[in-house]
Amino acid sequence: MEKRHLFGQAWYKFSRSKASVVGAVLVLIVVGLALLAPFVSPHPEQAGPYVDFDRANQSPSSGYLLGTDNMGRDILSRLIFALRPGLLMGILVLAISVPIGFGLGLIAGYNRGSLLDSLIMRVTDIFLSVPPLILALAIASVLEPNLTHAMMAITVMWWPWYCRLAYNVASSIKNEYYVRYAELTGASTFHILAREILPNCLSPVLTKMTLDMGWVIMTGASLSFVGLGEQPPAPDLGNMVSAGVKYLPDYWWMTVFPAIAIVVIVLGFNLLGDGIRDLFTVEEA
Amino acid sequence: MKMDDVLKVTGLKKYFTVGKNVILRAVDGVDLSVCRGETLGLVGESGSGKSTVAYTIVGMYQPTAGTIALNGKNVAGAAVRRTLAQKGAIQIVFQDPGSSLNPRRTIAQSLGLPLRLHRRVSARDLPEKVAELLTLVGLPPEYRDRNPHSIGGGERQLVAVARALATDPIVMILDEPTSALDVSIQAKVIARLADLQSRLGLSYLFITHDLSLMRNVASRVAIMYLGKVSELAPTAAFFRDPLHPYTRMLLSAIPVVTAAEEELKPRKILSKGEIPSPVNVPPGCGFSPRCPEATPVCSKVDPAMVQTSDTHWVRCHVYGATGGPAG
Amino acid sequence: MMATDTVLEVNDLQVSFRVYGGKTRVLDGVNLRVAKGQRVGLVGEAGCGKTTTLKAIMGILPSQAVIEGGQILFRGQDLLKAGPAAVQSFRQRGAAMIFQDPTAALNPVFTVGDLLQVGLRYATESRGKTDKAHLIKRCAETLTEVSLPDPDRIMKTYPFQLSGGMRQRVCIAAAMTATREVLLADEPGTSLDVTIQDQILRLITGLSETKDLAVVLVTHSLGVVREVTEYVYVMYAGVIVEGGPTAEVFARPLHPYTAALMECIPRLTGQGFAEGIPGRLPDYRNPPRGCRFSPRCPQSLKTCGEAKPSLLDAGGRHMVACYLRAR
Repeated sequence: MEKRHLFGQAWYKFSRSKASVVGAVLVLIVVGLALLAPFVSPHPEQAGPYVDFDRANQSPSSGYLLGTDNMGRDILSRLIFALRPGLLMGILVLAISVPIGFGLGLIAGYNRGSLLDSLIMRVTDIFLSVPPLILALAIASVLEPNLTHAMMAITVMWWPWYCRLAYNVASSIKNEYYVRYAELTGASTFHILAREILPNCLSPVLTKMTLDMGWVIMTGASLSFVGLGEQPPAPDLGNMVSAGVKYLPDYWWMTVFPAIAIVVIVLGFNLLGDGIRDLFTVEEA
Repeated sequence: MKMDDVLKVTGLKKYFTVGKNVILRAVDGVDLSVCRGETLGLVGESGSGKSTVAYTIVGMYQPTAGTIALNGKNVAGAAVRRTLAQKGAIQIVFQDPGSSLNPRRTIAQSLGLPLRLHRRVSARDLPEKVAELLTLVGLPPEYRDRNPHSIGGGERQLVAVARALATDPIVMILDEPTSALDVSIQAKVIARLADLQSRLGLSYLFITHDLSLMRNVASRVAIMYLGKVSELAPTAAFFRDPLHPYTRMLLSAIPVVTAAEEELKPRKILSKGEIPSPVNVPPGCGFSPRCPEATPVCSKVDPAMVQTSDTHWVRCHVYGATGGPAG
Repeated sequence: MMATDTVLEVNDLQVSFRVYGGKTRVLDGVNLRVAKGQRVGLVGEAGCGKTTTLKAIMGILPSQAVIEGGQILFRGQDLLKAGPAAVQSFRQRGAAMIFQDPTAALNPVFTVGDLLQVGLRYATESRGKTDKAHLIKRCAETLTEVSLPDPDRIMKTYPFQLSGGMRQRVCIAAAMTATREVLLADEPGTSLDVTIQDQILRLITGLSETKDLAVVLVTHSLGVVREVTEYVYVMYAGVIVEGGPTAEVFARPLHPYTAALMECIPRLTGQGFAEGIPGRLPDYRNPPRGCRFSPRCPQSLKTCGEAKPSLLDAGGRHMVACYLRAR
């Protein structure tokens, strides 16, 4: 029964909630569009340096489904390409901040009550006490504004959350009998952390990572909204919104569609995250 | 005293500090010994300290005082301070089959840990050794690739026993190994444990609150209350002739299934009151507030262990300890 | 006490759960009957469906449960066919349920007084206004009925400040504030120490006698059943396999499962006990066609595997669902 039905069982659990399925579909669409951007966007060449003032500021029409911006570029195509830096940021930020935060939290949680615990967690507390967006803005504004530096700034403010999460989970798991057994029988600390505790911490971390994808993308959009991320003419969700702000309410499509895209992305990842959490929940009969 | 004590605990104390100036006397002066090949039973309710005794012996806690002699050598202290051989010599099976095995590791991986550490089994030989262990406890070798949650509670306990056996231990501490299991599953596990004991010459320290089970499993029984041993005797004598009022109260409260057993129970002592917390041990004898036979001296002076026969000890003023009425 | 005044009756109850890969047929024909003031035991091992039966009676089955058939009659009215008003009325004034873990059953952010008043308020709501003072007085009375000392002080405490035994008493009090006819008790003493369990069981017995309260006691302990109940139902894999006056069933267990189970119980007389029942519980997704115990039964006949035996009268209110006894 075991391995063959693993996927089937997982899907059954996941699909009990219709909302989670909606989330999964949304995320798949977003990821699919981003990957296939050059092939699915109607005017791929317009996602980049391109001007055509004859077609500037046109409302949505058959050739330009979401209208054109002030430089005459197709908003739909730019939007699809803008998904790329957004997703890239989400992936890279999490790929770096999660291992660091989780690793530190694991070590601190296992050594709860010791000097090492205090050291790690107080540093974490310091980072957590600064309002996150302010911290990111501060860092990004010191460095030259571009996508890489925005990613670095967000990474710096993101790891403490995983540290705290891992700390809480690890410090409760370390009291489980199987961990105590490993200690009593003489297993090395590395084995205990990596083989006994870590696998049991994964479920809240994976759930949070899924939820966070949406929020990292939104934070990234916030940074580029104020000009600290991907610079124009490269399309980015944030800079598209900010470029269109001054044309409200006349040429509303320039701002509204990128904004809706951000909402859809965050919603999709949130719903997917709920589903992932359900997957890990063991149901009582 | 028996010559061949594999495990001898003397004057064991374990106090915990909880909060400001509040001391929890979980274990307050315990003497026990387990002879080679025998099963010593340890009985008690919550707050008695029986699990703390087990955990201290196996090295989870550093004792506040006392010695734990393993084949004559004192190993008292946290496990980290013991040698690998000592860690392998005393093994424990925990009460809760749900959390004694890592749910994210297969059974082969869980058994592999002690095999690799203690018997230096190479990766090549591991599958064979794992299969051997599983067969030893009566489980099919195919279980090696299963996860703990896909097998029943009784089978999980057997895996925990297999894990404990992986290090070739001398003494096994079984902390309520079947309390969470149904009667028919318990029977299977106990039968297997008895078989292993006779085949491998193991010595058991068997902890449970189920006196009917104890009657059939242990060769000697010690009963604990609030951190101290209040009575110690060979099983038959313990049940036929219980001396301590707490022993009698406990025996009279157990639900039994036949009229024959009902006859065996001491006259019903209606238990009253709550079990005090080891943070608040009453002065004198810890049991005196609930004891139907308490005398004035009981609430002032803590009785010492008195030997009433060759093999029967009891801690109670009624039996001629300090200042009380003789015998 | 003759079972003439039936308060609660369950007839051929069938319940399934929707799971991945189909349905698990958890209850496949549960029959039981409780008379006014009678104490009835429902005994079986883990996974046999006894808690599911109680939850079906109270109407608190989880969302994936489907009631496939059968009746649950309270005073002759079928709760499964009655409207929500009748079911509500049943829960407020007809029956109450107490659970295994009193800590989980009590909301930790409310005081004992709040918890008791809630149930009482809903039970008496439709009978005109009740003033607060009257409610509080009734709640304090109930606390005295369950032998909790100093009720006024207890009303102001939170559950975490009380011991396990006291919490279970509070749960029983909450069930008793309004006058009820049936108490459904799901393993009420299992998580408590033996001496405290004894107190709780005596309390339930006492309440049943003084208030003519019908009690359905679910437990896995045959000893408890023998001490508390007058009539017992034995359950295996979602089916009632035997039912009869307690003394009769213990003296002459007719169903092979009941007999095998009794063999597994450790006796205080020290005669040792059986090595368990071979085999495992059936897979509820694909249960055996005939008798659910037949794969494990040492005496099974060919008919046993073909058609499900129904409960047959074996004389003296003793019933058994077994072809071997139908001769």
